[in-house]
Amino acid sequence: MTTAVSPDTQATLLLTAPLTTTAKAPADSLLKPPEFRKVQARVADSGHAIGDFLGRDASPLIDAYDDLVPASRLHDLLGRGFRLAQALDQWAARSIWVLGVTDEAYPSRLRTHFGNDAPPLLYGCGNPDLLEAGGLAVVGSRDCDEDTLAWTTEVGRRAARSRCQIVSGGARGVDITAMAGALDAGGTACGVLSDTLFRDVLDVTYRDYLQNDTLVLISPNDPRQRFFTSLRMQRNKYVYALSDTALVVATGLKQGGTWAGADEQLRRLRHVPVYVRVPPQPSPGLSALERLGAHPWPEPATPVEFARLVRNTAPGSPNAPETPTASGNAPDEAPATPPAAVQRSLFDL
Amino acid sequence: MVTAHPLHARALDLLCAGTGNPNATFRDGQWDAIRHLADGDGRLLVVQKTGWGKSFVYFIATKLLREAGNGPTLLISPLLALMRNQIEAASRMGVVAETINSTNQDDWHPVAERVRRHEVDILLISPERLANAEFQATVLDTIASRVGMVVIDEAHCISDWGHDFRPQYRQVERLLRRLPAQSRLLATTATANDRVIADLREVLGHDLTITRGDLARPSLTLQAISIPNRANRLAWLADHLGDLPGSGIIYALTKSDAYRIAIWLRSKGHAVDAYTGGDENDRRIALEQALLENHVKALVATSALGMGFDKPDLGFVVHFQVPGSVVTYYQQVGRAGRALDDAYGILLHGRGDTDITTWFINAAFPARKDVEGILEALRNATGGASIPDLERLVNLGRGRINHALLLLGLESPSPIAKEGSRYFLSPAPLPEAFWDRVKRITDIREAEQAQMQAYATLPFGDHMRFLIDALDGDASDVPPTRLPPMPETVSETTVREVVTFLRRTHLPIEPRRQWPAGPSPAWGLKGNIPDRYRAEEGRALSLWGDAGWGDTVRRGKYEADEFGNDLVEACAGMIREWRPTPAPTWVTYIPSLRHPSLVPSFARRLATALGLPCIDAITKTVDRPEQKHMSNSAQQLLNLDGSLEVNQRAVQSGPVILVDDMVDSRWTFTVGAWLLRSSGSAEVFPVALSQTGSDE
Repeated sequence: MTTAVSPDTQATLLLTAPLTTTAKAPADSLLKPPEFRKVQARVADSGHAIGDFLGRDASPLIDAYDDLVPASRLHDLLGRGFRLAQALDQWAARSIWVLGVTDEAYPSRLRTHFGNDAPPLLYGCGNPDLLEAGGLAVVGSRDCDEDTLAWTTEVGRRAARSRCQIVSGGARGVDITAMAGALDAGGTACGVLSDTLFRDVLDVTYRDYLQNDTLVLISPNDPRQRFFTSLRMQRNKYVYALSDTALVVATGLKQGGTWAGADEQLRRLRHVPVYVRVPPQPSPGLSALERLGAHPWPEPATPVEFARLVRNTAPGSPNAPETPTASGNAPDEAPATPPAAVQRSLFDL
Repeated sequence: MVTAHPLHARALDLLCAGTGNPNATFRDGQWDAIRHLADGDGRLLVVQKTGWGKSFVYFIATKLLREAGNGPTLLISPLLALMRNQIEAASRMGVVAETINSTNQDDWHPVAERVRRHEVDILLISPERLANAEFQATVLDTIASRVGMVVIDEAHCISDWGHDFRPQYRQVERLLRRLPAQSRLLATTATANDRVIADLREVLGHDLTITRGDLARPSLTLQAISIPNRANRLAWLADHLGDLPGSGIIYALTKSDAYRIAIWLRSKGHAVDAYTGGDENDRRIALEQALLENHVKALVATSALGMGFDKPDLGFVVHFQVPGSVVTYYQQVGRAGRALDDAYGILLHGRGDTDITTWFINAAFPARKDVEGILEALRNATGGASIPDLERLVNLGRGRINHALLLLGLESPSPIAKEGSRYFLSPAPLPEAFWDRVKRITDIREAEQAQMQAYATLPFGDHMRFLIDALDGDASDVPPTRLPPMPETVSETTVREVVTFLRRTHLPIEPRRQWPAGPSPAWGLKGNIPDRYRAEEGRALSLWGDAGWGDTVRRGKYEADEFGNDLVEACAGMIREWRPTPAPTWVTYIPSLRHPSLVPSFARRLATALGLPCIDAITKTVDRPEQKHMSNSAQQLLNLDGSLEVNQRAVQSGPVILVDDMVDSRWTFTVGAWLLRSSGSAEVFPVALSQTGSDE
């Protein structure tokens, strides 16, 4: 994707993005999200676009925002054109693109679910069409036992066989395992990173899939953003929001990022239905999520069933659009889980 | 009218201060350009010949913008070392200009500090700096958020049609494309034909304003003289340099030509010096000063003496060979006669000229198989690869590896990325369009070469019109040439002296001081070569194939399979003149299984001529491909590794002359010296008949 960056996105970058070009972020006084939202709201009310700030005679326009943000600060930020050009150049060299919320390729799910709170910028690499593909969000702890990872790989593989995408956070453990399972089986995946996109696009785990358009990696933060736990937490909601259905594979009880993300999803955001794995040994974390409204993962036996479940069109699925008789009795009617060997053969057809 | 502009008076004051002339007035177009930039009227391209005063435009505009509270100007120019005159003029206007380049790294931190304190008005950098991570971090990052105006000098380099392909301008081009529309931008060049301007318009945006001056140089008398033989061209310079008016520049295509011409002309009593990109900055400043003050008759220069060098009273420019394009030629010859009524621009041409320019054309891009080899090596290197890693993985010289990586890294998206000192494959494959562009540029440059050949054969009087036409200028009223043509003849005596000169010009063979990244499997060679195992400085009698002994050596090796006694005498003479110390007490040689008697026979006769014993101390045990087929140090050493043996009992304890026919990578001599010294010999002095060109 080498299309020119739209004026709206240019202005958004200039006003809110660090545009880091070295190991250290510059000390520019960027608009904080609440400040930017206020500016955005007035721009919308006055029938302008944020890109109008870049017009040749934009000074009077900018000065009219002086009560929200001092005009001198706006002028300084908008004067960062050379830095912007440099940052765009560095990103483009590594095939990293950037989308603003008004760009056509910006994922509609984020716009729908978050409205004015949608991340104003998304940085990404790979096939941007995949941002509209939805699919199954798979989340889980970084440190899992071998059995859990094997199970996760199989979920990824089945998603691929069912033509469902895997959405994940791209962290070690469950996240990467699920994506790899799908990608190795010829499926697609969308990874939502919180940091170091600039370095991660060089990872051999991703490289070939980015090249052949079956993977997209995105981040709401500057490509050179360094790791912070809090940023990892903030990106969880985008993993859920970009999917159709979520599956929590493993989580601690009331601790860790997976728990926080699932808890937030179940109790506050409610963007997509949430399932939990039913592990051989009971898991206090997953059981607690069930009590918060998560459903046990029903182990769909065929690609068709899997796809229906993920796309919320299965009879009895929590958000199924047409469910005249489903509610309540679906679990009783669900077929007994077939032996693993049979499952596998059905998915391999 | 224009004078009513509120900044005009201030701008004129600045011009007077800058020129040191209280009555100075703007040249045609200067004030319009300044006003355009100060008012922020959009992007501007200024096409004006050197000497018009482009630097006054950006210095004055910068000062006016700074006085209005804008951020500093960033100027990107390929040859900053040559902008000293302009920077002095800037300081007279109160414009604080700072230069950052690879030669003043100690100044980077202080300059960055001054930039941070808002004390610098204009920062001058080279396009290479833009891609340099260290520079990004220490300097550019302090200014990047506040750049008030960007100035691109020599903007024609952005276009594939601009002469003088400079890969780093790829990055400049992309930055310009990504610069938001409202950023102030000035692009300048002295030469841009219609195609270059069309390209610039495409990159800089279609609302670009263009000012374009005229190209004619009425004071220049142009002439092309055909002298097929290089020796005769050297003779022509010696015979006629004194008749050319004032002082001037002799352009050569290569550094070694520049040095050789300078030595030859000095030997004939002319006050000349060589000036190349290989010289230290201080030396270059001193040489320019000597030319500015007419202390030399001429500088014999490569294209390193070029853009930005401004001597209004330069009396002549002579080209020793035909340069690669009309634009290059116009720029170089156009340095003569700026403020004179009369000056000469003379092009010597003959055999071999196009060999050199063709070499430049072909060397501009890496070969497809080299690039594919590097990309394949990176594909298999999961943790990335450093340059030494790549040297081991692909059979390519370090120079060629660096060159390929440079060009690939300037693509966007790039197929490679650098993290620290390691290269990785990126998510973007190298598109076929890259090779299409290579082909297109190569075709353009071949067409330019052909156009220059056409220029060389024009009759006297037609040259200026041809140049202006080729540059899409207005050639309708080019006045007739003012001076008579220079004579085309050379004296036979001088030609004979040239041959003698070339035969006496011996080439030093520098010792290698370090083994390539190793260790080598058979001998375990690695790291620094200690003094006691190193070769001493040696001598080569000739350059392969030149008019001195080079041709004789070539015939001996490939036709007669025997080096004649004339070469023995010449070599002995060279050694007597050279006097290696401590004086050698014996002679030995590098044997070959392919030519078993060629070198031994020569070495024995040479030893006899020197009155020393020749001893067979080294034997070749395995036949290996010739070193010239190996392309980097690691591979060259690997090719030798274990293939030579020393006959321990034969080795003498005194200093020795080690003879071989050809010297190229110097690894054979390096290994030979190590073997001999490890076996008890004293100093080893390499002697070769001919040096071939491909040494890295």
